[in-house]
Amino acid sequence: MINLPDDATILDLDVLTAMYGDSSEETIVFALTGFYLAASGYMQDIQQAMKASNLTALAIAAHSLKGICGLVGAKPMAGLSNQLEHAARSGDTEQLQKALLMLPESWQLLQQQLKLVLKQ
Amino acid sequence: MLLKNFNVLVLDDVILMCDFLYGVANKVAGCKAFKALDAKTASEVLEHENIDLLITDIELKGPSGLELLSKVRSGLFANTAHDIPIIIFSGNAYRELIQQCILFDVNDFLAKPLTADQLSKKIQHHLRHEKLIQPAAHYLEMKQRIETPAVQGDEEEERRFRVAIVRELAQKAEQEEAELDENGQQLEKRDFLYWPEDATTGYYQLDRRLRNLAYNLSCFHNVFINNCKPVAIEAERKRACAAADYLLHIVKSMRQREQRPEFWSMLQIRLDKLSALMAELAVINVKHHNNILALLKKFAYWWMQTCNKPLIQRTDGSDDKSSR
Repeated sequence: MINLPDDATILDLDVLTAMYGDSSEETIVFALTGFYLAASGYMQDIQQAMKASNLTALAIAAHSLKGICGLVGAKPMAGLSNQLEHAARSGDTEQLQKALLMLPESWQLLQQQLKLVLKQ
Repeated sequence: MLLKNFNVLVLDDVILMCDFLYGVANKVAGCKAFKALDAKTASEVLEHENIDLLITDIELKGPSGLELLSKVRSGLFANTAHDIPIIIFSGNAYRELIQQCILFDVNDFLAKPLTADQLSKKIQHHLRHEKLIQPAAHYLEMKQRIETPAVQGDEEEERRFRVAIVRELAQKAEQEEAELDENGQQLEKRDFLYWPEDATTGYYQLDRRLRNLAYNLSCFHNVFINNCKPVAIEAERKRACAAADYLLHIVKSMRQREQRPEFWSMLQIRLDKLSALMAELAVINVKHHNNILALLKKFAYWWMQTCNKPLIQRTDGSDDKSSR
């Protein structure tokens, strides 16, 4: 089992190990590597949908991002994706703007945490 | 522990989630998992593999999970039974979607996130516990009703719609009249081999496989009687043989763990006879009509003897024959 990084509020590995029912290094690395690749793709999808003002596509990408964040214990990002999804579905532009403003910073923090864990 | 290899199909368009579901399903004792990232791939698996349980997300890119499960329940896949357990695994729980899923008698609705342990228990539970599922025709009718766009427009359009209903009703009345015998009694339309809705061996898995065998042998009978192309007859022959193999396989594993030794030895006697008939079916020349007709008669006789007391019980207590 690998050591937990300090900031479990950004990436809670206890959630990941509970989800997978396995705390082995192999499983954690596999899940987080897969998560990083998938989440990067959904982040791009969100940005493209935002540029094209396509709320449906934005909601779909946010929904998928929410799902995988829940799977690996990325709680704040999961919450933010949830806000994005619901704002996009309901056409609530005010909420959407708020969530979109917070998104780059949250993603950056999560990326840092991911790199930290994967280095260990 | 589940002893037989149950085929579990997982469908999620998010790769990480799909891999997670696949990993969990594959680790359940006695389960072999298949995975699909879209409804099209899932349809192919359902068509070619004998799937015993489906786990699907509902919101997918392209055709939705609801569309897929409505096809399963309508019996539109050749190798997958319409009454398999279906588990919805979704991140959202919109009321309208849930209501539609309930219409198609899904077995469970699980909200993400769900741990591997919880999911594993759910899979085992649904492979062991029966849920009463309506005949496929019921869901097919409902699927068509849902898919038919609502009639809107001017008065002329509405009038045409009314006329269509009257015509349909008249045709239905004529059809119903034709189905009455000389005493005015309703005739029951049946397949070549028929599994009565209220019949049971006492084992859900066994009932399902017997019903599947009856269905596939009836399909073989139909393509043969209707002079279909040899390739179609050949395909139905293969499916019927596969259905029998599956029945024999499931009985072998079930009798190891179930009680009622008398039931299992009686069933084995019937299955030995079925094996002989299936061996005959596997090699028979489909161009020899008389030989096939004779073999079909043997199947009908076998079915009549097997699907009766004491192996099969009818919940309404009647002892109708199960073959035409």
